[in-house]
Amino acid sequence: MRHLLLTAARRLAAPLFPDLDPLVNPAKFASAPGRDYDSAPFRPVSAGTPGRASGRSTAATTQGASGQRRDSGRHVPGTHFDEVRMSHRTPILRAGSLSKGLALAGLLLFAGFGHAEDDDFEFAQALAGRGYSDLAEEQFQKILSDPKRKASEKAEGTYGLALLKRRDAVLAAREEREKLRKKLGDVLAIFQQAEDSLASFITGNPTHARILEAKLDRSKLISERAEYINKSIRNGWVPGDVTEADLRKQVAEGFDTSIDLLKALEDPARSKLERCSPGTPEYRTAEDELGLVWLSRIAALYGKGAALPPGDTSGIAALNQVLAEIDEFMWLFDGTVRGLWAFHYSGLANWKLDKPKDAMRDIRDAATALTEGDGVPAGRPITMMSYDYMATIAIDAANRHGDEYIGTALKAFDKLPSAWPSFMEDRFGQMAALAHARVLDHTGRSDEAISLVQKVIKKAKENTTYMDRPAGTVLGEMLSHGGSGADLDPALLKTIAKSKWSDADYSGAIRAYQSVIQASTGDSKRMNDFGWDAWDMIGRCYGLQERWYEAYLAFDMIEQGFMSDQTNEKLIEMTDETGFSRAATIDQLARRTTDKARAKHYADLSKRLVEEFTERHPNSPRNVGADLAKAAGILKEAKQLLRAGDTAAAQSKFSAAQSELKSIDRTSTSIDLVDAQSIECDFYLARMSKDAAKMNAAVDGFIKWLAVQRKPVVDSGVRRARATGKNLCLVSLLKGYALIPDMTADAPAKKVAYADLIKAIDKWGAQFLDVVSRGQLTLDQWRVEALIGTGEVSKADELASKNIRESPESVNGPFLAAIVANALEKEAKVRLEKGDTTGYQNLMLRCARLREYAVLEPAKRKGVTPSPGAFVSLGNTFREAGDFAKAEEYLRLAQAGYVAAGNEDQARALLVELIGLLIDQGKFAEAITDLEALLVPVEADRAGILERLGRDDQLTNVEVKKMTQTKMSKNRRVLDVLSRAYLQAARDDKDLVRCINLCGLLRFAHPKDEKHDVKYIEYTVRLASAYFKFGVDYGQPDAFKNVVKLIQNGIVTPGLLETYGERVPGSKQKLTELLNASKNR
Amino acid sequence: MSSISRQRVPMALGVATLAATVLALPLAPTACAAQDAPTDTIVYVDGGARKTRAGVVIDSATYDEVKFKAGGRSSTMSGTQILEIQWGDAPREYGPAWRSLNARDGEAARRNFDACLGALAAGVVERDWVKEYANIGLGEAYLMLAAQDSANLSKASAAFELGLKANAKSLLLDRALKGLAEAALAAKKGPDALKHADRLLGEGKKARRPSWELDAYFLRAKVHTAGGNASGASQAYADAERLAAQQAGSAKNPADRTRFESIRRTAAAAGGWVLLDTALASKSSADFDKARLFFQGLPAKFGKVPEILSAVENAMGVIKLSGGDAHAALEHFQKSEVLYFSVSSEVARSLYYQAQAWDQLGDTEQKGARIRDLKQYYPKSEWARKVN
Repeated sequence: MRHLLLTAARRLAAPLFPDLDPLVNPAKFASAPGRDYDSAPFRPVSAGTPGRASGRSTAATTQGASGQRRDSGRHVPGTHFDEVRMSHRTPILRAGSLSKGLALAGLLLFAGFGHAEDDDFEFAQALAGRGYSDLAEEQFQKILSDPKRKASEKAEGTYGLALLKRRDAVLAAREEREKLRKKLGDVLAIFQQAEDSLASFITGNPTHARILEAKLDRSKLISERAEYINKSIRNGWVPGDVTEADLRKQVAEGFDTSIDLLKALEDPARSKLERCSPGTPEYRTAEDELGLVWLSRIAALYGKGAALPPGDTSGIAALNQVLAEIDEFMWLFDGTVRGLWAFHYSGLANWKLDKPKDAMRDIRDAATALTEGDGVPAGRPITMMSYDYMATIAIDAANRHGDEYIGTALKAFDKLPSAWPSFMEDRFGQMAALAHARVLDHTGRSDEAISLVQKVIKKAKENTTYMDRPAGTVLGEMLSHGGSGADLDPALLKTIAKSKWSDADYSGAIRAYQSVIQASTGDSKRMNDFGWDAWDMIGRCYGLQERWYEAYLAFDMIEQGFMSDQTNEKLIEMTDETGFSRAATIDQLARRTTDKARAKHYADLSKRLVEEFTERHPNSPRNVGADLAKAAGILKEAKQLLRAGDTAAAQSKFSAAQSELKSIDRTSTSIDLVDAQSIECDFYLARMSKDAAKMNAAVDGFIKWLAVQRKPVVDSGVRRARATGKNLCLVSLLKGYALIPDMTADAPAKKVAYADLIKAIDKWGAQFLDVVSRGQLTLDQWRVEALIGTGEVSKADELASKNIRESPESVNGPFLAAIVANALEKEAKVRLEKGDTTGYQNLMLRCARLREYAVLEPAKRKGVTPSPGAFVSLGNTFREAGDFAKAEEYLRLAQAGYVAAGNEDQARALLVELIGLLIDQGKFAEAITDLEALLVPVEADRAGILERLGRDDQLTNVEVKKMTQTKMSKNRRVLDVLSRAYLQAARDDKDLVRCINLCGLLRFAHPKDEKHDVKYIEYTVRLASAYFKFGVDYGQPDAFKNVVKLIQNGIVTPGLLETYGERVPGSKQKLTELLNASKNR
Repeated sequence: MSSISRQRVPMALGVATLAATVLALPLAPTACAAQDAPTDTIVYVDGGARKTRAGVVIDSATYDEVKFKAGGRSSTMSGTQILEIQWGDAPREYGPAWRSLNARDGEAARRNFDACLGALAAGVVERDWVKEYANIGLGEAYLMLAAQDSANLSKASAAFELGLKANAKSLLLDRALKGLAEAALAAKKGPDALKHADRLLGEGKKARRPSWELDAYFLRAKVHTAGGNASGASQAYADAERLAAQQAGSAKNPADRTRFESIRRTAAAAGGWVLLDTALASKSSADFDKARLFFQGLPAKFGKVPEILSAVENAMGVIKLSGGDAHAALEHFQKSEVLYFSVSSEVARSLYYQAQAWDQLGDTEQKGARIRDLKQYYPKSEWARKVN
């Protein structure tokens, strides 16, 4: 079991590559002079402290500010003293207090004002760090597309986007949950994309201010990829088509590449330092850079050594090199936070080399060198991580060598609270506390260990550090092998159980609730406060797993408790419901058992249990009186009819049910529920008639019911009726608000209805969640729809994205993505109409990504391939968004799908779309050649036809008739795309004339009943544009006259131009511009 | 705050120098060396409380008594009080060796115990206790490794014998004899296994260690079961139950009483499983009836405690399952799992048999789910090993 703890601990422990940012990454913080970052010596070198380094530090002190060269040829630090501070660039985003609103407000704030480019970049990074990748992407895109920025500033946007890709890769690599984990190949593909992006930025911006960061990020990414492959081998995630040997080779090669890249940075940094005079600002900058790069390489060397199998010679060599280099490193960086990191790696390297004494010495030094009183917050994370690793190393050494290191570790942990009084306030300190608990548990002090873990859980929940989950896992493992003497807090155990319930880990929740029961058994107060509810939850968990008999057994335990003490208030109230569940579960079992004899046995048992329930719990709302029974029966029938689609019959039944309900005596103990159900009938009637006014009345009815101040009563029957009525009203009123917009035709009124829905969710949402299991998904869906309805599309997008991110398996995800995508597309068209092409493209890109998810995810879940039509839709969307690579990818998939389905015509048609992409990418020559070949397949005819089309715009009727009767004209899409290509290419006057002629043909051949539709409008705009361009480029005044004639004479009907603008965004503006410009020629 | 530079060479040199000095000393103890000789620690029970006596030098340790010197004076302590001896001159591999055994890492345990014996042979450790303790530990390591290679069985036996040869009245006698019995049983040498079990029984009586006697009875039962001697097994369990009842009755402290009561219940239930195994083999309704009545009588005899009730439910389930009534069997198994969740051994058994029942009903999904739960939550149980 200790091994399990070690395993759990390894999962908890800091990742192999502790994030050096922002502790030791000066480039981010020192890009402008005057920043308050430095390489962080945390004590004055002049202080001359005792200890192992005393000799050297004294020497350093006597050397003064200028520093002197040592015999080794290395510089020593000057006697400057600075304090390391975190970057002050993220004050608007404080841990634990960030709300979406704040983030958006911050975003808007920054969008509205001019400010330093660093702010935007770091703001975007902070958003990404908080998990708001979409907002971060939006921010980086803004930087990239801002016309006011210089190229180097825009390049930051590219770098930022590359970092987001890197983040995606790292997150994918870290995911270990079986259901959410991506396949090895897919994760590696994400890594590749990230690396390509970074490499592209590096190649394209060799002198950029962030080039060092980018190179470091790239090498770190390569190491992370190697580490991920190693983890995959360890966990057995190796697919069948690749060998472990191949993967191990990739691991080694990956680390080697990373190390080489870092070496290539380090050598010039070292040379630069040696050229600087100690004590100067240039020296400090050069030292910073060298320290950063060097430490990164040490980390990569360690990574290699740790990843390769024990005994591997190159792995051992790497670890030995780590030790040798750290010795050198410390000459420059002793007494700094970087020095702590170095000691940390020294400890790890010695551990991997199976030198526990040296390992413990170094890791303990790293853990205990700093105290909170030193005022070096940058040193906190590494200190706590070192404590964590100290525990791991001590336990491992104890298992293999002896217990002496356990004593060392315990002594160090004993001093932790006094050294860092606030250590439990953040996740790093809580991680150290869990490490302490592991050591205690190893020494048999399980009770103390369990107490400590419970403290961590409590603190983690208070501070929202999310360490309660891993701590809960550790606690569960400790409880399974000991700690029976520990005073277990059932409240804490309950929170662990609840989180497993929320994660839908029902097996885990059952076991956790069992521990609640164990902690409560023998204490009647605890049983009332926690134990009986735990049995109830166990029953529900089994029910959700469709383990009906097991669920029955759990509910039966509660019933037996009630039967043995019928004065227990808690059990009296509970069993009004659980007594019913007890019977209902056997009823379920009876329905699902295929063996007839057995099914009858369960049906008989269910009947008996119902009789017992009726007899024992007469006041339960489930046990309605005869008068209520009739109304309840009619209501049930009405709902069944509605489900079956027989609306007319259902309406009649609901009316009948309502009459029956209204006839019930007002003195009935269930009258509150009766009233609620009566309003429920109004709700259903309004729903079926799609009458918004009636639905509003029903909603008002529910609200009035909830607003009534009812006197408290003792009678449990009345209390249960009120509780059931309240739940009914809460759920139904929100449903009503959600239905009203669809029942409202008037656009302004619809918008108001959506706004009302949002207000209702804000007001009643929390109570709704108490009643409806997994109700958050429903609320989020309603809210997304309402936000779209009120025009707050970006908020809708954000909420949908959050939903998808946090509940990746939810059925809601694709649906929400689809509706948000549609909304974004509409908004994009509005932007286009206003001439904001950048805004249009950004929104279309976002739309494309969401639509991609909406299309691919359901198919993936079902294990099927999306239809070719779906791929075409995606391709076109990405094309509109300007992502031609993606567009091509999906159009080709569509083409393959059509071919596989034997639909050659559609497959051929897609060829034209693919050629269209060439045009979008400016590859005119290639596109035009292909299109001309499609237009006139017979080569011998092609030249002649093209020559005629390019000669002049005076096609005769005969020529036009001939052309429209040929196959050529029937291929309208080719004509369409080709005419667009000619216009955009405009290589010569012939291109423009061909465009004019083809547009003319298209307009001529356009079906009369579809005149002024989208395509016709496009042809018209194109024709006008071609004439105008011809006039401008070739000095042809007649061309302008043609423009005027075309527009002024062709679009004469009042409002037609408006209609054009509505149908084809931007067309009205374009035609107006052309007309005005042509008139002035 | 201490400096953390890298000036470690002087310290390292110091340690090396000290080591060299130690190694250079003559091996014969001198007055100075005696003062510097490592001391032992005795962990013992006194008045129901766990205590330690450190700073002693043990002269001899048998199950009768432990003789030691402390502060120049000789003393003895009754063997029955002894819980553990921590040898001061233990080779560094000694602690890790036992921990490896506890962690069921046979290879690491073997390696470490071999190293301990190597240290003895090299003269690094002088006292003979190593021969006794390390060999017995080595025997257990080989026994573990025999699961992969049965050739280790004879090595196990040889190691145990060497350990007992070093001290025929070892404090670890029970482990050695149990080990010998297990090795013989695994080598299908039932009579030899029985001999060792019987020897353990005799020594247990001599050493006034009822726990050894109980172990011996359980061993006998195991040997008889393996040999198909159901009545012999039943008798052995009955003997264990009787002895445990006696000990529970005469126990001076509640912890011992609880422990013996639990052993009594375990023995009783085990006797029932023998009857049930017989019935499963014979398929005779009379045998099934006998087993059923036995289990159904347990609560009245031992109380309606989870250990007993869960065993009864599981047993009833097995009987139903063998009769082809998988549905009824499931109900029993599910009761054992849901109601008596604190008895992990029975919950594991329940999950195993639930999988069998679902298999009989043709529901592979439920079967798979139960096996997954068994492997995830009870990975070290014999039932998880069975499905592996």
